[in-house]
Amino acid sequence: MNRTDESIMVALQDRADGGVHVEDLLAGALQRGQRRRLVRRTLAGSAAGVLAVAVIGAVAVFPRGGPADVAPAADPPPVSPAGRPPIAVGAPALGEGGTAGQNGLFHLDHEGTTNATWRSGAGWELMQTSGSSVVHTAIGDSTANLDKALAATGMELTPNPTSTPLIVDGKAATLVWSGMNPADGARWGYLRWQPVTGTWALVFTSFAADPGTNAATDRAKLLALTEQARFDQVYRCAVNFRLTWVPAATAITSCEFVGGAQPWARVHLSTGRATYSVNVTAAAATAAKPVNPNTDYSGTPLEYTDAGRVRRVAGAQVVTVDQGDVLLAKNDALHLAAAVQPVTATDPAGWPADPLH
Amino acid sequence: MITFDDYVRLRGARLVQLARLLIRDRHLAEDLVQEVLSKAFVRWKKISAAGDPDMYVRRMLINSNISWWRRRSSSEIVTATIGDRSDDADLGDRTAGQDAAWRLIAELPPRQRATIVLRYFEDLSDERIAEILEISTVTVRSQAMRALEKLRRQLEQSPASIEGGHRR
Repeated sequence: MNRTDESIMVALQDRADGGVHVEDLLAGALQRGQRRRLVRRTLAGSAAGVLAVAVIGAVAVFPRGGPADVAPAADPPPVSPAGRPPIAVGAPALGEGGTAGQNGLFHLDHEGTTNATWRSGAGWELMQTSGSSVVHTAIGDSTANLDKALAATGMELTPNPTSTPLIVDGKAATLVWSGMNPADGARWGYLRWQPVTGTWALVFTSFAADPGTNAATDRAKLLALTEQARFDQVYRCAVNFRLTWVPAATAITSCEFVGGAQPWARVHLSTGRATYSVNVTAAAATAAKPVNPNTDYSGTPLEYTDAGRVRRVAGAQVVTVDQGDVLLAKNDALHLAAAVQPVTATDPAGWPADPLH
Repeated sequence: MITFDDYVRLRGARLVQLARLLIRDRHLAEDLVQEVLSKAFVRWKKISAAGDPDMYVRRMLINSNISWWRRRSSSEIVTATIGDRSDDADLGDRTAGQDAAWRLIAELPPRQRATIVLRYFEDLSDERIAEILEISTVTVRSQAMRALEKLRRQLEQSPASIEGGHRR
């Protein structure tokens, strides 16, 4: 071994060293893997097609004056149920003039859940409950937009599911079921119907391969979950930050509210070419991966990775900008992250509905 | 046959270390390994039945990194911001020579870097490297030779002057 060989070996060993949380790695890989197992092909239409529509047809979720239409009235706003977004005072529910995916509103809820995420895009809304059984409830103002809501879950569904027509609550519905994967017993299913004229809805879940479960138990579980879906309350997205600067041509494509004990929000944006999201979470939530600034913007320390992720510490919170395949110019990404202004209020009722206004 | 969980517990840390050398960004490295393992999880039965999960996972890791690098290089020139390790506070403990060597390795094209990393960090034979990279042993040797020539030439310069050239 010569000196060069030795230098290379030492340099590589030095660079590679450092702690690895193997159990975290395993948990993350299992979580992604189980999701991927369901994921093989998107519903009706390819993922690329859906993505192209999402990028090319980036539509502002908040039309001019939109959030102001549902801003809290002068009277004290009603208090939301635990873990829910703020109630959109005066906004009509579905069937009373309300439409899916409008003005950053959420027209859907699921009984019995305390931890859930709501997301609203143009013409679609999605609610995902967390816990032992993940349930996605979605609505769309068309079947195409309902498919967009399902695509927003990030799942690609195994091909060739079976469809069964049903009558639910006097309305025509379709039960779609993947069938049981012979390898591990995993399967998924959803019920799709029109709760009110002009709105399509679905409730989706996956089923654990527990002993004694079968097509009949899956169907019963799905119908029970469907009964817990509610469309008679209207919430608004609430964002725990303001964007004091964004790249040119930016429009919000969807707004996401993460409920629970420590709520936070993520906003998805597009310039028509690049897509990106912004969120602000408690610093404690990122303790496993603390922010390590490696650059700055006008004196604000920032962490920038080659994948275009930008993070910075803002008091007890962490600002994160994530980017899609097409990246913003690095300087714009840094400027954006530096321009995110977390709000100080802890109650989402005091958060803006639109971070751009 | 080894189970997926056992494999990750046994080899996960080493895979993350390997990724740190391939991808240059330490934070992204763990994400990449998790992503690659999630893909392996879906096909674990076949992978473990083939009896060589290490080769499969390492190949996925390297290919994922190279395809990522290609996408990036078509839109943006990678700058010399290589020293993004999270524990920069430890810089003082490392010698200028190690820094210089790492910077030079990091600047190698992905295939050459992968060859060097597999040979010197994973201590693999050229035949094994060829299998992982899906290239011939002749190509492995020529990639390694080109990379080593460059490294030797550059390392003969003063480490301090190399490092100084990148310092911001």
